[in-house]
Amino acid sequence: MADYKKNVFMPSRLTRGNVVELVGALNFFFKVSGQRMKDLFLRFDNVNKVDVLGVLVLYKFLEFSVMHNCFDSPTFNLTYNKYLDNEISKYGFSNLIAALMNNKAKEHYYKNLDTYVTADFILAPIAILRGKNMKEQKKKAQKEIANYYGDNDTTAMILQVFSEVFQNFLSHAETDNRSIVVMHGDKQKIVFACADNGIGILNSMKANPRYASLKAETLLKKALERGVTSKEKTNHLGYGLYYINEVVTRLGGQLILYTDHYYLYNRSGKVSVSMMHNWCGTIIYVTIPLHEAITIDDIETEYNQDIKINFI
Amino acid sequence: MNATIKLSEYAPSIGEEDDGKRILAEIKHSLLSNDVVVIDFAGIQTLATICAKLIFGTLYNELGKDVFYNRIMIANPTRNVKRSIRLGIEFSV
Repeated sequence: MADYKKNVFMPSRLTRGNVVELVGALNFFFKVSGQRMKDLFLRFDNVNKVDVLGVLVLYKFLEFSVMHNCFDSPTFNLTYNKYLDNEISKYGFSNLIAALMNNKAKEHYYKNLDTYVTADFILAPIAILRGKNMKEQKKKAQKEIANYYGDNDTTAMILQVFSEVFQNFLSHAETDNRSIVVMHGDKQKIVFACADNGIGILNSMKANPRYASLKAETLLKKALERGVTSKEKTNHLGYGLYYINEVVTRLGGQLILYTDHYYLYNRSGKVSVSMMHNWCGTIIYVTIPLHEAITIDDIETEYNQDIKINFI
Repeated sequence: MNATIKLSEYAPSIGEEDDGKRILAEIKHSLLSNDVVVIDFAGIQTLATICAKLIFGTLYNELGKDVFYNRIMIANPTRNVKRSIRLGIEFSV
């Protein structure tokens, strides 16, 4: 395997700004699925900056390698880096990564990710899977958000974004049922990150004949439009990404979608699509400043007068 | 006869398709034996669009415009929830 290297040096920054570099360093994992390659050393010696997206993407790479038998036992070796250890712990991934490395109790730790709240900080890593356990965790996270941000439009906006991200990954991943959504925020801003190794947003969209012939760059931008969905004639409205994109644009936040060989970047309303090394699946990253709240009601200023609803 | 379905057990957010299906089934069941069903959104801050379409889009289409208005009443919705319900119906018709 030409792409296989025994020593893989990680970028010094595992952050939002370096995700493309991180994907470039590790995306050979996707090519050695099932091959049980020997003696992989992931070198984290130089890592000195980490954020929640970097940790999430790193975790998904490690998880993919274990789930798809990319490497022989031990599955991979990590160089010790105290700073990185602390950051991984801060974002709630320590037990998950330790379980992956030991190939033990992965499911237990995955299903028991937990929300963490302090006076000025909220972190909610939540496994996206079906079943009672997941519902309880999700509900707990939602209640913590409501408690932390109060009964107001900011909470409504955050919960709406959370619901749309969560439901999208639950519905669209298809080939990966181990997605994780992470919220990380304070009173000034909130960050959402979610990643899967599913079929990816482009393949999902192309399943709809209406969009099958569109180029990837066009299709990614199309996915942000109101009413565009791969799942027409279902209960999906094609509103989730549109809403998130509107919020980000109006409040000066960021939305990044990484999928396949492309990433779409909306920074304060300026949208671009660029190429990258392959990510097998989809990653979404959303940053929302909280100086103001944009709810659905702020976006939808007109409505169909023929539809009468008996609000009391 | 009127019935009230309180959704507070889902607070603060109704976000999952499965929950939408459960709520729709409860409303339909209640409609069998009641003239009016009041759906009480007290405590609910958001209603995911997928659930709005599933619940209210389905009811609007199955009951028809007038019957929907006369037999389905919505209590204590926030402005955000109101708009989600409208969207769910608008995307269904």
